[in-house]
Amino acid sequence: MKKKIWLIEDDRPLIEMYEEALKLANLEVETTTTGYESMEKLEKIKEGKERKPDLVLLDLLLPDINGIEILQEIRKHKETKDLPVFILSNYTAPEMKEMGVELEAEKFLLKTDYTPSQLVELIKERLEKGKK
Amino acid sequence: MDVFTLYTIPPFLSSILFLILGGFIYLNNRKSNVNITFALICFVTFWWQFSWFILFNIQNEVLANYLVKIGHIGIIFIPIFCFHFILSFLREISKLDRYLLYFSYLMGLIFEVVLLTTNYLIDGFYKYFWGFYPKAGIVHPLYLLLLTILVSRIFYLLFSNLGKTKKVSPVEYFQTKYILFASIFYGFASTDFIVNYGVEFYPLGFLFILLFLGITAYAIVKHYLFGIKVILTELLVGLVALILLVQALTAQTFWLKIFGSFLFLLFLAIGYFLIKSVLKEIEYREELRVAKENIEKAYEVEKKAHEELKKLDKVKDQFTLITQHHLRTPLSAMKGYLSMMLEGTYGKISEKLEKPLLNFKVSTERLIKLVNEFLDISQFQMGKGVFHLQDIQIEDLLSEIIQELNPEADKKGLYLKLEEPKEPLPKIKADLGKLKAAIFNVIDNGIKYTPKGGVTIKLQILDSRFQIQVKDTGIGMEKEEIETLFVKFFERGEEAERIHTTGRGIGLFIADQIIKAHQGRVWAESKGKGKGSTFYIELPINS
Repeated sequence: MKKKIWLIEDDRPLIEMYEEALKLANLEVETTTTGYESMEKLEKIKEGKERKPDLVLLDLLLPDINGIEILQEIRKHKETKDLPVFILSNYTAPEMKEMGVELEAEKFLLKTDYTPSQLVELIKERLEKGKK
Repeated sequence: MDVFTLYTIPPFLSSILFLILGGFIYLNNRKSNVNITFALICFVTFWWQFSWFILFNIQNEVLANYLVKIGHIGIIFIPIFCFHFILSFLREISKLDRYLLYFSYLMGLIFEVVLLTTNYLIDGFYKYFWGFYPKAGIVHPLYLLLLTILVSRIFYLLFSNLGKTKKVSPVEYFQTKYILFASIFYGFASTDFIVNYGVEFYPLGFLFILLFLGITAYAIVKHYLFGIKVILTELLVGLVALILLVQALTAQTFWLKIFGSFLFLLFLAIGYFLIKSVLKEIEYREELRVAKENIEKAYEVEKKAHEELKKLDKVKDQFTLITQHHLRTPLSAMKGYLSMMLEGTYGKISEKLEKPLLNFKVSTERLIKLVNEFLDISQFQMGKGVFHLQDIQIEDLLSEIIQELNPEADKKGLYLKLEEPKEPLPKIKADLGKLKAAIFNVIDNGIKYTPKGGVTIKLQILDSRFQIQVKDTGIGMEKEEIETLFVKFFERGEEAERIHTTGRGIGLFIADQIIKAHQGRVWAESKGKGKGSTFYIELPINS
């Protein structure tokens, strides 16, 4: 079965770009674009109605809430608390970074620092590691 | 016949006390209307009581005829001055009260004329068991009418002021309360008027005016009425001095008179110093109170300003952070799509298209770098640059930086050397990330502006400081360029622009800020164009 990536991102061009790159790497992508939508999805995952993703790409600035709140929710429930999360954002407030570290986000990536293929490399690396 | 009898002592005593009280209150503040009008009340009361003291003492009917009128010269103005005093105390005077005051003064003058030229106001005297007493004339009830109007108005004003000041001004509230009490007692003194109409009843008005005196004195001491506490002291000194004087003058023998006078003078001297010291203390307390008030006010203002600034800072902070997100988002998409195109994700790129796309990519990267630098500065200047100090081995830090910059130097075919002392160096306390960025920027700057040759980094200890020398074989600088190097976002003249177009000098500005924050300094030297430059970073070892 294909590995599943959950992309939480609100910028349309970026969504299309990341989806394209991830699909090219033979990964399944599911995207949510708002905090509300993400919480709903999380609920379904918790209830077992949806397959758990293998990795989450999380943006910090969303139209309704900030990504940290989603991360908090992910860490709260036993079904999702072990999910590997990469924060992928252009928002670099130091306190956000600190909170991300506290909530065990594995990476804090600046979007402008990585091309989609570099990002895919990082994801694949992590998924390989998870297998072992 | 004795001058001082059971019937003559009360008017004498109250007249003297009022004279003293009025005098002191007037002298205490000669410019205050409140003090002046109160002193006037005291003076006319003295006039009234002292006339009665004489009137009760004489037997001569001709003299009595004059005295009953002379006494009334003062009495007529008592309610008018009282009304004037209340208006001065309340400060806010309505038009009605102002006209009433003018009217009363006019009436007062008319009554004076009537009193002195006719027998309509005072028509001779009664002869009672204690002595002569004025007899009311036919217009006397008119005077009583004026008095009633003024007294009613006074009480109305005082009561309404009591309600007004209760919550807002406790001091004024209490002052009003005491004035109200005092006025009630003074009001009772008008019972003396029934004696003018043939009722043979010893006039007890003096009792009430003495109560008035007591309450006023208490209010002065307790509630800063007339703004003076010292009055009681003065009053006391004055009274004792008076007693001593009377004793000295009435002493039986010559030597007792001398002794009494000496005692009197001695007491005057002591009393003078007593009053002076009390005055000084009050002045000092007042200064303290004012200073305290000022400090509190200043503190409040400062606190408010500080809060405002903090708020503003937070807004600015938020603004920059949001802005950086918005600036970077489209840039991420540009960079991402470009790289995917170049990687052939969307089909093979024709050779003709590849070059412009590559240029596009370089420009995008440059823009990203500029945005990052700009944001670094704003973040740094906004105090986001909070310093987390830790022990740092400076030579390790330098090796790390050189390792990171080596590919950059390699690309340009430059050497990048580190010369360090053989013995291990002491650690320094610094913010690792920030200090690294600062040194990185300086070395990176050297590589940028060196077309051939290379950069040598030398680390040494000078007294209690580390010195890092970054010497390049690059394009060099003129004196004027060096001066503005760290001050603003400079462009190193045309030569630099030609060699390295992305240079904006922002890195040096940040480096300077960081090194300064570590109590160090950074500067540059160059022998001129084409002769290379040397940058120096100095940091105190115990920083």
